[in-house]
Amino acid sequence: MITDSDRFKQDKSPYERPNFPYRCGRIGLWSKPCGRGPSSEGSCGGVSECRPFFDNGRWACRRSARSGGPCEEGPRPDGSCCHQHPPCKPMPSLRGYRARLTFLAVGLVIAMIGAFWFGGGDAGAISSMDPGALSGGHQNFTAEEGCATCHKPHGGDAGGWLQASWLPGSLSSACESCHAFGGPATTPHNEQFKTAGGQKTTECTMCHTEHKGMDAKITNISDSQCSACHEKQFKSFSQDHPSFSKDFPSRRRTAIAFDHTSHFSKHFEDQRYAERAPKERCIACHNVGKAARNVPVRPFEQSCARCHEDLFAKRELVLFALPEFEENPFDAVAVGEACGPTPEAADSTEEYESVSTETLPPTALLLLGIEDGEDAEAYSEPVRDLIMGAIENGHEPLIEALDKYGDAKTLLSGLSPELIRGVGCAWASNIEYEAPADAVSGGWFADELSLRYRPTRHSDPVAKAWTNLAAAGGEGVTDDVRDTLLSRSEGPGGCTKCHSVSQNDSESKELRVEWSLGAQSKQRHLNYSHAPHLNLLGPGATCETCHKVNEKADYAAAFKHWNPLDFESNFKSIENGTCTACHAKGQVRQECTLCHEYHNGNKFKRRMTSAHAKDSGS
Amino acid sequence: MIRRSALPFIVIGIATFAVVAWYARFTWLELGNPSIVTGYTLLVLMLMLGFFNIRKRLSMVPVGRTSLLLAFHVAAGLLAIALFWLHTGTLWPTGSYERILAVLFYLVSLTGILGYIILRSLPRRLTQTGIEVVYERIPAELGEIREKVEALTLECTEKTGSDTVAQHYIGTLNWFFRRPRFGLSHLVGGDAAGHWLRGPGGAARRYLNDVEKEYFDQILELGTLKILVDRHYACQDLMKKWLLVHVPLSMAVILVSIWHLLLVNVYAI
Amino acid sequence: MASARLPNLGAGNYFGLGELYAAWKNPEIQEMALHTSLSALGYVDILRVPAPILEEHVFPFMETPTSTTMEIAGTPVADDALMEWAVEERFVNATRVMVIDLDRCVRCDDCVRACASTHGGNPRFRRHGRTFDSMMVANACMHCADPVCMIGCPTGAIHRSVEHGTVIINDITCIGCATCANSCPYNNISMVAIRNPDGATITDPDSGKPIFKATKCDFCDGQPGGPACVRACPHDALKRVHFQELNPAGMAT
Repeated sequence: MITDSDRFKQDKSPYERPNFPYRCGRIGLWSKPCGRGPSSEGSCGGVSECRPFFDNGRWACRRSARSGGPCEEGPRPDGSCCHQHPPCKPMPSLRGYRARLTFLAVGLVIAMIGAFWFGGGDAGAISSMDPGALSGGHQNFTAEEGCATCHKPHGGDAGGWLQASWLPGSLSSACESCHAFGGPATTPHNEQFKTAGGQKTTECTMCHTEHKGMDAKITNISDSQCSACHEKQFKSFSQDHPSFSKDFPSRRRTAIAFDHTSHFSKHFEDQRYAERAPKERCIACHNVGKAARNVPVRPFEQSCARCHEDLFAKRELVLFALPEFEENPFDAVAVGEACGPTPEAADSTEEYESVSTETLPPTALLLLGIEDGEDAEAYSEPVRDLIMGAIENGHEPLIEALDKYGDAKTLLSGLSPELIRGVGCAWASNIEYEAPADAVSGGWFADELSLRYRPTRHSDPVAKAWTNLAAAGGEGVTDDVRDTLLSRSEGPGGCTKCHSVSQNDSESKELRVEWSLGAQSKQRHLNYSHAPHLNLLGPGATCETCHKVNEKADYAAAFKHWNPLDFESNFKSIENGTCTACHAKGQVRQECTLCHEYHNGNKFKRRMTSAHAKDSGS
Repeated sequence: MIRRSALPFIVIGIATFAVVAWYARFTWLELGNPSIVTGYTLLVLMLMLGFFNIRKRLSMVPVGRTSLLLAFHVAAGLLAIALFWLHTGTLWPTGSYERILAVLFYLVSLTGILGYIILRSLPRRLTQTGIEVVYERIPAELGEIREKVEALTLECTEKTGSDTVAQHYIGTLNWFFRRPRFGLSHLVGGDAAGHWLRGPGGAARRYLNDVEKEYFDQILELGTLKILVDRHYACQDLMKKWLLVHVPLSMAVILVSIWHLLLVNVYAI
Repeated sequence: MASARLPNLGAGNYFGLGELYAAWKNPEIQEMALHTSLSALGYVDILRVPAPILEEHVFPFMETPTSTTMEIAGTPVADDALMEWAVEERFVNATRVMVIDLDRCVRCDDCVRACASTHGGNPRFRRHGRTFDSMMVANACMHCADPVCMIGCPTGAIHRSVEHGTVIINDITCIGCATCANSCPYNNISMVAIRNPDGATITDPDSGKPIFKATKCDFCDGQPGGPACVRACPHDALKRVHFQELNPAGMAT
C-alpha cells in the first residue's frame, strides 16, 4: 500500500495480472479486494479466506502470507475455513468491457444493415436506404420503378444482387433508355475517332455522378479534364487557345450568294435605290429577335424582295419545243380523229414542210428518253409518240416519262390537259400553236412552237423541282440538261443565281441546291449563342464589332463552282482576340464547355412530359 | 506533440497521400473513377489501422517494436482522415448510409486524436503527483486510506470522549473518502479537491481541542494523499477508458465500410 | 578542493593511469598530484601489480594515455544526483535494469501483459518500484553482475544463462522454496501461485495446494526480438539498461 514504506517487498504488494479477464467485485465498491481474487470463470473466489489442508489427521489453515498468514482460529472441524464472506460479483476487466462493447458494435452494425436490407418490405427491399437526393432533372423519373430504374440488380433476388458486385455495372445502358446521342454512348464525345487505338470506353457515371443532392451540378467537366486527352495542350482560352480556323466562323461559303460588300458599299449607297435600301444595316435582314447560334435572315419577302421581287418573271423554263422534221411523222388520219378536222388537213397532199426550224431543248430529251436532240431521224418517232400520247391522254405520258427523275407531279404541277392537247393538236397538224389572247402572267403556257413555264414567285415549287432534278443528276440527266437548268444567267436555273449549288462529295455526280439558310456546317461540338452577346458589348457595339466586312475578298468567285469549301468569306475571320477581350481570367467565363459541347447530338429518346401530359389531358 | 519516432511515418504518410491524390486526380482527368483508387487505399489503410489492436494478442511474435506500430498508427490515422475527404470530396455526404459511415468515421478519428492528446499530456501530470499507483490497486489504496481515517476517528473519539471529529467524518469527510472525487478537476489540472479539503473538509478544525487537532491533522494528511491517488485514478481511468469508445467504433467503421464497398460494387460500378 | 563523481567504472575501464604514466615520463616532478580516487560499491577483487613492473614492462611500449579530468568537468550535476540515488538504492549491480520514463508511460500495462503472454500467463515483474524524478526502476530482475539470489538454491534451478549472462530460473526444477526470493536484496523475485494461460490456478494433485514458483524476469530468454516488455511499450517509455547507462540522456530516444 502506498502508505507502507516497504511496499516494494516481494510479499507486501499484490501481484497484478492485467491479462486476467475478471477483477474482484469489491473494487467496484472502492474497498480492498480479497486476497484470493475471482476465478478464471468469473465467480467469486473469496467466499472463504483459505482452503484448509488436511494434514496428518488435522485441518491446517493455509491463508496466504499476503492475507495475513494462518489465522488464529484455524479451520472448522468439518475442514471449512472459519472466515466466510458473502461472495462478491466479480467485474470484467476494462478490456473485458471493451471486448463486449466491440461485440455490441458489431451486432448493431449487422442489425443496422439488416434494417436497411429488409426495411422496405416491398419488392424494392432496400428502398429505405436513401442514397442521397437525385439532381433536379432526375427527381421524378424513378417514381414508377424506384431504384431499379437505373440499378438493375435492385429488387431482384439476393443471388443476382450479390452477383452484381463483381459483374460490370449496367448504369450507362440504363441512362440510354432515356438519353440518346449522335454516336455510341460509351465512346468519348460519342464519336468514333479515326486515330488508331487508345480510345477508351467511357461510362456516363464517370462524369455524371448522381445522388449528390437536388442542387448538385452533375454535368460539370473541367478544363483540365479536357486537356488530359486532347493533344493540343493549353492553359486557358484567353492565354493560349489555338487560333480559330481561317475564315472562322465560316467553314464554307454561304448558302445564299449575298455579297455583303457590294450590297453595303455599292447598291445600298446607290441613290436610285435610296428609298429601298435598308437603313438599319445588318438587322434589316438578320432577325436579332431570334438570335441563337445564328442570327437567322428574315424570309425573302421581308428582306431581298424589296429590290429583287421581279427576279422570276423572266426565268422561263422551256419544257418542250417542236423540232424540225424532215418528213411529216404524224398520221393525218389519226390526228384528224383525235383533234377533229383542221383546215390544214386538206392540204395534206402538199409537199411537207416542217413548221418548225427549232431543235429540241435539253429538257425535251428527258421527256423523250433520247440522248441526241440533233438527229431528226432519231427523234421524230419519239416526238410523234409523245405528242400523240399527249393529245390522247393529256399529261399522263409526260408524267410517265418524268417519273424516274423525281416527283413528276410537282415538276408538271399546274399544267392543264387542255393546254397540252391544244398544243399537241396544233403541232401534230404542223401548225403553230395560237395562244389565247389573254396575257400570260405566270405558270405553264405555250407560244407558237414551245411549251414553257414561267415562275410566279420566290420558292416556286415547279422551278424548285426542276432545279433539284438537275442537281440530283440522276441517270439520263445529261450535262446539257444540267447546264440549262442550273444556268445562273437564264432559264429556271436562275434560282442558283442566289442559292448556291454544292457538290458535297467529289466522287458523286450529285449536287445540292442550298435552299435553306442558316448553319450549313456541322460543327457538332461547338456551342455559341449570339443572343447573350447582343447589346452586351458596350456602347457603339454592333454586329460589325465582331463581323468585320472584308472588302477585298473575292466573294463572288466562290459561287462560280460547286465546291462549297473553296471560298472567301465576306467577312474577316474572327480572331481569338475578339473573344478574349472579354472572355479572360477575372472577366467573363472562359471554360472549355462554354463554347464546346462534350456530347454529340445529345437528345432525349422519349418525351419526358408525355406521362404528365396524358394525366392532365384526360 | 508528435514524437520524433513518428516523423518518418508522417513523411511517408504525406508522401502516400500525395501519390494517391495525384493518381486520383490523374484518374479523374482521364474520366475514370478516382473513388475506386482512394476507396481501396482507404480500406487497406483502415484494416492496417485495425491491425494495431490485434498485434497485442501476438506479442510473442516479433512484429517490431510497438512504439513504431503506434507511430505508424498515428500517421496512418491522420492519412486516413485526409484520404476520407479525398474519397468523399465533401465533409458531409448526401446518402443516409454514407452519413452513418461518415459519423462513425469522424467519431473514430475524433476519439483517436483526443486519445493521443490524452496519452501525451496526462502522464506528466501523474509524474508531478510524486507518487506512483498501479491502476488496479487504486480501489484498495482508497480502501486502505479510508480504513486508516476511520481508525483515527474512532481512536480520537475513544481518547477524547468527544465525537466532533466523528460527526464531521460522518457528515462531511465520509463523502470524500468513500470513492474517487473531483475527477473532472483532476483531469483539467485543477485543484478543486484541495480547495474542498481546505474548505468544507477542514472546516471542523477550529472547533477541536489540541488532542483532536492532532488526530484531525493526520486525517487531513491522509486526505491530501487521497487527492493524489484520486488524481491518478482520474487520469489513468481516462487514459484507459477512451479506448472503450475508440475500439468498438473503429470495428463498426470497418464493418460499415466493407458493406459500403459491397453496395457500391452492386449499385455503381 | 572541489570533487566530482566520475562515471562508475566496470570491467574494461581504468582510472589514474594518466597520473602514473606522467610520473614515469617526467621524473623531474617530485610530487605528482593524483586527481582521482576509487571507492568500491560492491564486491571488488584486487590484483596488485607494483608500479615498477608497469614502468618496466608496460609504459615504454604504450602511447600516452588521455586524461579523464576534462570528461569529469563536462558531467552535469543532475546526472550526479541520479547516480547518487542509484548508488544509494544499490542499483550498481544492475546489468539489465528496467527503467520506465513516467513522463511517457501511459500506465497501460501492455508491458506486463506482454510479459504474461510470453510466460504462460504469469507476468514476471511488477510495474512498481522506486522513482527518481520521472524515472521508475521497476521491480523486475536487473540481472545483477553479482547475483546473490543464486546462493543457496537447493536444486540449482536459478542459474546464469551461458549465452547471455542473464539470471534465469528453471521452472521445472524450481520447488518454490523461496530461498532466492528472500535473498534478493531488490525484492525482484516473487513467489507466485502459478496459473495456466486460461487463468486457472495450478494445484498439487495430491494436496490440492496451489503450486508456488519463484518468478522473476528471465529477459525473455529464448525469445527472438529481445524482451517483450520493451517491444510492447507503445511509447518507448520502458528500457532495459546497464547501470552505467542509467542517466536521463540514456533514456531519451
